[in-house]
Amino acid sequence: MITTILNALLTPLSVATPPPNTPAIEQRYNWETQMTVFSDANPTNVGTTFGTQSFIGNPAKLVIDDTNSD
Amino acid sequence: MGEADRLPLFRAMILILTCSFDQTTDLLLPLLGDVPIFRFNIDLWRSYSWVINNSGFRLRDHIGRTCDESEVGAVYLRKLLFNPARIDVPAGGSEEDWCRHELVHVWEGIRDLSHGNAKLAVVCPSLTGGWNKMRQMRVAAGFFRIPEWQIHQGAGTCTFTEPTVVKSLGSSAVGEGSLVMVKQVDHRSLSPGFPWFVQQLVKSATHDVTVAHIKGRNFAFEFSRDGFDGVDCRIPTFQGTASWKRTTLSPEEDTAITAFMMTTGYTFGRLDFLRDEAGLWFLEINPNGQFAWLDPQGTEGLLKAVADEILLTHRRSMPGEVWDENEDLNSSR
Repeated sequence: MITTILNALLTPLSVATPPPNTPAIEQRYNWETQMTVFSDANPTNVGTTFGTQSFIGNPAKLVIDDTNSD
Repeated sequence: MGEADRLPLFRAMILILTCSFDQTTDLLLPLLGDVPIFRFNIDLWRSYSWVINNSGFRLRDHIGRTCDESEVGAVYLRKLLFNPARIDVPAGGSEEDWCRHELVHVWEGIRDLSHGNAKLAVVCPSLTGGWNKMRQMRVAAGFFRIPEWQIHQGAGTCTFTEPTVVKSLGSSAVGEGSLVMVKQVDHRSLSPGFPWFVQQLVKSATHDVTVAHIKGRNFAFEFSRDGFDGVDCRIPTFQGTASWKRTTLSPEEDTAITAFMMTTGYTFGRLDFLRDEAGLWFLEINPNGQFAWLDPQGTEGLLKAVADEILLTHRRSMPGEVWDENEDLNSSR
């Protein structure tokens, strides 16, 4: 009996990425140094396995980018 | 050539095409020494101005820093991400979506011009064409073990008998805020009418292994599956519960990875494997995959290897410049 539909395989995006249409991460950009500055030293749940935010404030919490493109 | 004649050459800059929240670029900048950098963050595009024509391109940032094509020695391609990454687009389109697509063309145009001028550093399109996962797996089968895989659609098309995982060929959101990630399934229960990508579950796998390849050098890291009962290591990695550690490849594995990379035509990539007692199972290569999360402190030499490649491209683009391929480009920084 066929029971598995696509919905049963999905991983909630909230696990992997910020909700759509909301700022991805609490950060600002320093134009002088051309580097990222985080308002929260240890932001959580702001990375993404899609596309990717690179990785997030706490170096222990790194995020993989699996974008298969060049 | 006198020193005065050489002086302008040293002002050649490195152009980094990325987004403002790209921390990989943040980590690389200190390793690029005193070379002028122009960081073009596509998500902040409204804070830049630019003119591009047959004579070249000129970019200007929020504080007046400029980047003339004639002064660019190397271009490093990072991440094309907007903020927010996704927007709702009506069927009829939207102005924001139109702008974003135009910007992508601008970004890719600068990339292509730079590629044509041999100024692209580290991440370069393959001259052998695209490397979709299907092509990757077929070619990689000549170098590694590949879990059996199948892409199918329609009733009765799945011929699998092995324990199976469902994967995705891309990374689009499905709606309702969800992604398809690697998940074990009973292949007999998959609904027809979806374009499935299934692969043999490697039950014997003890580790996930990821390798950053940079021009013949392989930096390998592994994550033990002890205590991990899922199949997609991205989840524990994202959640911060996965501990990736540097690992050693056998000479045969190292040779196979380098040979495979030469076949793809890529000089950079991050390759994902599973490992069991018999060695590696190839999963995929990401030609512009992330790598800095493997070496955030710069202690593994990976960040430096990427920075050195950028600096080498920068140097090679400067006429009259003499360089030593073995020179430690950022040892004093």
